[in-house]
Amino acid sequence: MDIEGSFVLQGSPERVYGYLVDPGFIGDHLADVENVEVIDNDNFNVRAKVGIGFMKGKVDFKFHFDEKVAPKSGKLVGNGTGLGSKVDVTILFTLADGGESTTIGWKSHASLSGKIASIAGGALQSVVKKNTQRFIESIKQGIDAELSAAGAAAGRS
Amino acid sequence: MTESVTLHREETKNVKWVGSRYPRKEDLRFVTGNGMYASDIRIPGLAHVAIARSPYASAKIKGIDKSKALEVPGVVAVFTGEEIVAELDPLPNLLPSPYDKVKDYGIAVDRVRYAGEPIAVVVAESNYAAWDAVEQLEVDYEPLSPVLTAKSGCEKGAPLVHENVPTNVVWQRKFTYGDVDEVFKTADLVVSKKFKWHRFTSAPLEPNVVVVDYDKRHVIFNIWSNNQRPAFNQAAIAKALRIDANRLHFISPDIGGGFGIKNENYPYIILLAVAARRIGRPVRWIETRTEHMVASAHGSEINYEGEMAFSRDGKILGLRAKAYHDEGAYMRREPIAAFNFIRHATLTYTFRNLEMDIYAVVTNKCPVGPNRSYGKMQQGFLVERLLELGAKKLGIDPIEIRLRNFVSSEQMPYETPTGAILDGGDYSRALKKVLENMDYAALVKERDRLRSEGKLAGVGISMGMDACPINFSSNRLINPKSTASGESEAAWVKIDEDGNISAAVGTSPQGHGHETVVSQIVADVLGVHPEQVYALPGFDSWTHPSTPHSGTYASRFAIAGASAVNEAARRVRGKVLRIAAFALKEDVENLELADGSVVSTKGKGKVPLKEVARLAWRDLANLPEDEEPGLYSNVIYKTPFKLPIDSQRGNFSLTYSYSACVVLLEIDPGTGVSRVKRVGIVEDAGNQINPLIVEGQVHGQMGHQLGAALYEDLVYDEAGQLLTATFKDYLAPTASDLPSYETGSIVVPSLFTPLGTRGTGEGGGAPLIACANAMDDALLPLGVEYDSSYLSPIKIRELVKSASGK
Repeated sequence: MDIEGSFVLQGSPERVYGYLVDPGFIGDHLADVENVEVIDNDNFNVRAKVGIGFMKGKVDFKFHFDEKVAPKSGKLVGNGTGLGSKVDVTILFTLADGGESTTIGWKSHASLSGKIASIAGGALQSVVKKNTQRFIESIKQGIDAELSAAGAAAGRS
Repeated sequence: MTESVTLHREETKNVKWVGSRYPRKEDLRFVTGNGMYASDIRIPGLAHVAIARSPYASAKIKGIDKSKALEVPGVVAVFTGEEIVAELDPLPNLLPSPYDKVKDYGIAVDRVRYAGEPIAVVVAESNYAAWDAVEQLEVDYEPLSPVLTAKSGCEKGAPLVHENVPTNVVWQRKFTYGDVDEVFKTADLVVSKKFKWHRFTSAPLEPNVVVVDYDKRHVIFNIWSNNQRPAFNQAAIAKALRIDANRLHFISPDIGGGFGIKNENYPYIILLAVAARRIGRPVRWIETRTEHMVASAHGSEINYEGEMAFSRDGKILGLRAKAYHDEGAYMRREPIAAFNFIRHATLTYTFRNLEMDIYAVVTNKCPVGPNRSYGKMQQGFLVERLLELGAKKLGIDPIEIRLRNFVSSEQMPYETPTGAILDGGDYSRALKKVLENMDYAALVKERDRLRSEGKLAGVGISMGMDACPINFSSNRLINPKSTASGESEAAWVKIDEDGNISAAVGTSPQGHGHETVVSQIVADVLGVHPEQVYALPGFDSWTHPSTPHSGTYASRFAIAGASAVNEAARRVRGKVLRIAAFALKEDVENLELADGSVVSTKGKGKVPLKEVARLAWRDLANLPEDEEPGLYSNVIYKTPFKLPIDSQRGNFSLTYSYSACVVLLEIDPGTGVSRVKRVGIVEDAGNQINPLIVEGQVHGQMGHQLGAALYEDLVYDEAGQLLTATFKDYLAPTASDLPSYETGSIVVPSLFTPLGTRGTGEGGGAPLIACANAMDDALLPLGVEYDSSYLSPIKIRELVKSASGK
């Protein structure tokens, strides 16, 4: 299942990029996260709640940054296991410098295998789309808030 | 609407129970909640099994870490595929070399080949703990591209489902009869069509269950399961477990429906046997509905490319087809479904020229296996759909074209081009009777009225045939190295010293009412009431007789099971008469058995059966000198089968029951939803041992086939994930979804069975095919030709919309 889009943030690619490849920051903004464990700069584990139809439970993800080309692109790969299922996710970010702003293009690919796909197959597309959009919106707001706070702090100083 | 039963057996003067609608003896137990099913088995120390399954359709297993699973409280053991397989040999298959090397252990080792394939067996103190531990297994997969259709599996460069064999086409044969090319060259009309036979299942109410207790003192595996032919599967299970077959003790208690699928739970018997032996405790596995849908056996999935040649006057001249069978990942019973066309390739018709080019292709989907009317309804569908298209092109009424092509009753027994010998019947009479019962003219009028109101409506008719049982010499045409032939069934009948009558047969009923019909048969032969006969329930390999063919499958009871019981009862009867003759000083010829006594027809008195039993077991000095004590007979009945005629012909079934079906169907053009407004069927099962039970079987096949035609579809996505794994998405119909059935029957006794019976129950597909023909008729005004055995309402609506926009 492939979804893509873009959003714009006020700030340079260099400042935005740091958040997009920060395991702690990204982990906190994933949808329905219960716990994030940062291993190192490239690896983190996430336990997320999943509820699709009558299937409810936990999925444990292992995420890692597969590619990092600062400040142009980053590729996050996650593999989750739980509920008799596998969830494989890839998100590619590309950053375009717009002077005062940065345009962040994103492409996500998700595949669900096993029991979730079999039992909730008909509902999957809308759930994945909704959660992906929640994640993107959350990091957008999160980075925006961080940049604003940093700007405000810089203004006060 | 059942015609009177005509029996042509020896003891006709005694017959009063066979042929009667005797109420089913076992039903009191079932309807009062006193059935005993495999999941009711309780054994001290019982541990619970959950099966971990592959989420991927195709992937390498790079590693399994079970450490976290073993930490789950209550977990007893976790066995990976690698650990299980270390104690197993592969399950045998029917394929010729090199495809016999396809390895199947019932569990994956280093590669998974369908979503849902077992990868590990988890044993715990509770079912909950077992499932929690399954969640904790860490499996490192490397996903691979799956093969998801038979056609794509045939393509050059397609990924190999089994890397140790050269291609995915694991069996291919072209069968040619007559001068096919010539008739197609000279025919007045040739109709060609590609058809899709969709994948569906039978969804028995009770999923698979296996309980295994390993008795290490006696080196015996006690196996309770709802397998519908444990004696048949015994050899394969023993071979896989590397033990002697007599170390397997099978018990099949009551079974909640089988329909072929429950032939196929033997891989789980093997997995649980290994687990039980390893942990030294009894283990139980109860399949969930989703596991059943994802990983039990599915029915066939076929792409046909068919053509039929006709003369101007509507005579079928020949049939030519390619059939691509999507077999799923493993060849457990296959390619039998692909091969089964041969049993009644020409259905009820007289054409002699036939070519079938069969491709059995492995894919990354659930394995295909037996499913009610296994491989037979599919051939009926191909023949009947092409015949229907031909009738339309020729402008001949669909009834008339069938009447012009039927094998007539005068031609019986009739040998078809594939060597099948039709065992009697009157196809014209069956068709005419169903049309009369349903008032066909009124159906057509109703269809036209619906059409005049802007609705889509169609009438469809179809014949169906149920060839049964299996002459296993047919395996020689699949694999020339096969040495099998014929088939058999065992039964015993015993009268104990108090005159109590018991009987047992090797069939393992799954709701068929064998306790009732066995009692009826024995009661007639021994001149008693059926209530005086105790027919042993279920199957227990230590108490029931059996042969390597035993079980209930391929509609074989009324042929093999009934014949074995009948013969065992006849032998006991003979002994009763000899002992009574000695006691009465009367000739055997002057004695008859009636109302529980042996009576001299010459007025020399009578002796109660109970007294004969006492003599036979207790008063041995008063027996005839050369008479063996006791009243007991154990019979192995050999169904009269021969070897194949040649490499592509033979009579591979003994009886050919048939049916004629007519359907009035309406489609809502707005939603695409189809509804059967009326459906009628007339079946000829030969002499009916119990017409009430035959009628129930007909109801069952109607439900299955209308469900398959209108609701049920196993849908995979592009990654090989089954999307219809619950009854929310797999729409097995309930009674409220189905119309009332207008059933009837005619009785033309089989020429080849001792009781004149034919196998019945599977049905041969007439209701499903009649629905497809009705669907075609309904869509005709839109210029759409129906090309499937099922289409979802969404797809029908798309067809309607695109046709309306033309």
